Amino acid sequence: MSEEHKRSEWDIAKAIEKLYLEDKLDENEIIKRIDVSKYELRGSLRALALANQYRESDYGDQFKESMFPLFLKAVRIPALKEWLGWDDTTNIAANNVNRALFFSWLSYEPLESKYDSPLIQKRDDVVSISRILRNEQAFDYLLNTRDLAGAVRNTVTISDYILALRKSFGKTFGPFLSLFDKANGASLSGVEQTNIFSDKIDSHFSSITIESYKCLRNICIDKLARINLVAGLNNSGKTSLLEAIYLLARQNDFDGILGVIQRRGKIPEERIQAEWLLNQIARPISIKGVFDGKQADVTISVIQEGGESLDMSKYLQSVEITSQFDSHKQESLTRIFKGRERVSQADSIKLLCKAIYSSPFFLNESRHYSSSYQKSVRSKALPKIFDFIRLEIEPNISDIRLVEDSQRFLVTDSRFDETPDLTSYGEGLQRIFFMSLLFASAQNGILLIDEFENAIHVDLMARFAPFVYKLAVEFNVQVFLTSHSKECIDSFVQNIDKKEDISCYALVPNSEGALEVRGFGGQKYSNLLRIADVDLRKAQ
Amino acid sequence: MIKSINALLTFCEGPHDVAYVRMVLRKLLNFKIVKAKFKELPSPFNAIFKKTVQEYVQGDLSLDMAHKFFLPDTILQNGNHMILLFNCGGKDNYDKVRTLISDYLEALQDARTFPQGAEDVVDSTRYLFVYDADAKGIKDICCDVTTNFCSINNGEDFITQDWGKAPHSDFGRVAGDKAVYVWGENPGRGTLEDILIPLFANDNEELMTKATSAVVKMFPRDTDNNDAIIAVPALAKQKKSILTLLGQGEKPGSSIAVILEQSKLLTDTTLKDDERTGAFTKFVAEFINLRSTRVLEVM
Repeated sequence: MSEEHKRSEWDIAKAIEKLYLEDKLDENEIIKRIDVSKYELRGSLRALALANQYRESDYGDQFKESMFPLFLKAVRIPALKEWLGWDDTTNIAANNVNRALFFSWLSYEPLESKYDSPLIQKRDDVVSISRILRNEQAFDYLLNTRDLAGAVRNTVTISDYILALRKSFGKTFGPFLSLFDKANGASLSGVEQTNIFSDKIDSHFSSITIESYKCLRNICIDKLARINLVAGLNNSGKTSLLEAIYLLARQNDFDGILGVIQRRGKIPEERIQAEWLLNQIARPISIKGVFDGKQADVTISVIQEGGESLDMSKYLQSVEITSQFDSHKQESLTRIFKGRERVSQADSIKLLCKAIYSSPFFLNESRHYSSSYQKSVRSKALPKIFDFIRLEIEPNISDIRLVEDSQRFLVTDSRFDETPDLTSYGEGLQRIFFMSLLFASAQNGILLIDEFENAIHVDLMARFAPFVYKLAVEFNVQVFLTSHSKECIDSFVQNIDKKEDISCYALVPNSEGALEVRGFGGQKYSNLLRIADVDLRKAQ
Repeated sequence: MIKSINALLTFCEGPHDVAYVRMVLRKLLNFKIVKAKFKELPSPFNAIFKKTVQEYVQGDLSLDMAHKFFLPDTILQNGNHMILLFNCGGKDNYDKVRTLISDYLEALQDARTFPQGAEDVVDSTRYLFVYDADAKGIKDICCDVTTNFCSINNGEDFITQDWGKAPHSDFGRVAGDKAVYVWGENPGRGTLEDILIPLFANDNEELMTKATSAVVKMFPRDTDNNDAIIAVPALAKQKKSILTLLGQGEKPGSSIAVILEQSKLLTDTTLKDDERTGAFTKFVAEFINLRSTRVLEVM
């Protein structure tokens, strides 16, 4: 496209608006007709709606098309949207006072004998405003002075200093910076900090429909319970099922799909090649479900953008994620470049709930459990885990402690003067310890454990299963387990008294080779075990 | 390819009822005894019977427990029809029949999902309760069956229809896929022996007269009591003694079941020509919708 024919954001937005409001086309049709992503489409419609509210306000006569990027920026900053009382379903800023204030900052205001210039004139000013909103002192200063630069100076935080330190000194401050990172939670590149819709839920997933994910097509799993057991032979789609649930919980978070691909490929993030990454998500992904009684969905697709602002020499493709939970729509767009860091854009990233995925084969080193250990300490889960280990596995162990510097777990064992490293104990003990730690991290969320039985002795399974259930209830966690082992599945069904808290599923190929689900409630499966000693893995 | 099986679960009072039914099915309806291992039976029978045995073995099997399995005495098959004959050990053993049916229904729902290696799967099931009419008669027995089996599977209704008369026999009643058949001199009174005595007498008149005379003299019973509750069992016991004695020449020390099936006292022609046996044969064939050349010939 030649320079003079480049379309402005305003032009694109107006074109989208016409197709959407006048021609009544749906989002997918508009995307086909105009070369935009869903992220851009929704952002444009929201920005137009906010601009229209501005045009209808007292400042409406000051509206110029050149102001449109400011509205576009405003509807992409969650903190600002929240402050404006923004509703994504109606596309209206409902907080009248804050909206009037924001519009005033966008406009010339009469000041004594002259007009004061707009406070917000460029996109960065919108970002600055959003930061000021979090700081009472800076906000008051802005209200009193209409001095944006001065107010911004009032918002500088410890985080900003740390960022500056990192840029200036890099690894010299390594240990200190890593502690800061831990306290701050995982960082997301290019997007706002993730959080969850609500930490208080009445129920977890009640059903999940995987319309399309890897080998899974139109797979519906209903009557989900507290503990959900998925059995099958090798390569039957069990891990894909867990991944799909994980992706649904992560909504529009690109890190969700990145984590899935890392686990599959068993490679750390820094070694993921861009082309390979895109290959892994080549086919559209579509997953739906009911969480906490409300509809949720996520769609992930790889798209080819053609915008003039892209550096096409390095650009490969983009990963677009659209998600919805109840009436909350979210989207994100991650551009993948060859030999360059990917760039993610999202107005907000909210997860359905905490979602922890555990595989025995990847990210299973001690250091990956330090956060869960801390949470288990704080939630007082640790003594219960030790009690279980002492009673059922190793009576001489009285404590397992995380050493922060080395990120190792050391064991207090009455048989030894020294405190041996946890890795010197059996794999089974380590796995039981680590899996037990995860519940505190997944509080009010979901925990997905692949190949649960791995390294755990069959006899121990009968006692570990009710302990897992106890932790799941205590931390209000919905658990999804896959297993190759009949003994593992049977241990849960036979040793948990509250059968209604268990569901069992098998993925079964039909005559055309497509996978179908066979599902059983806990009581039903318990009866089938008692009567016919059925084997969930061999369901047909 | 998995074959669909139509099953008939037949619950008999005792071993000689089983023997008689088995003989009728074999000789008049062309059924063959299935001599398969549990794992070779259709689903869900394969898994249920295997688990039943496993449970008792795990429960530290002792001699007095050895006969407490509730497994079929015999399984017979004709095409895709399979009949399982259970010896309930008496009319009043409703509990174990109820448990078996309840478990069976539970497993049947998922028989195709969990074939457990079976090549055949039960597709449809019918249930036949075979009792002596005793002094109660078929009407009261049907009521008893309804009372004891109306709700069987965790509160799920089992017998949902009223008992209707069978088209060709006064001795049978049908309620959908459930049936009751009574033995007796008439549908209101009697026992299996009322059928067996004339059958054996047909080819062994002299032996029968002697055996009857001996038994009546040796073990006098109150067979003429005006109260049917006393007279019917007394007569049944007397007839059992006669039949047992009758067979001692050929099968010394044997029970009625053995005499019935293994002695040569009862010929195939007699069995085929017997009116009551024919009525039962026809009843079963119609109840399970059995269609085969051999059967039509017999009927």
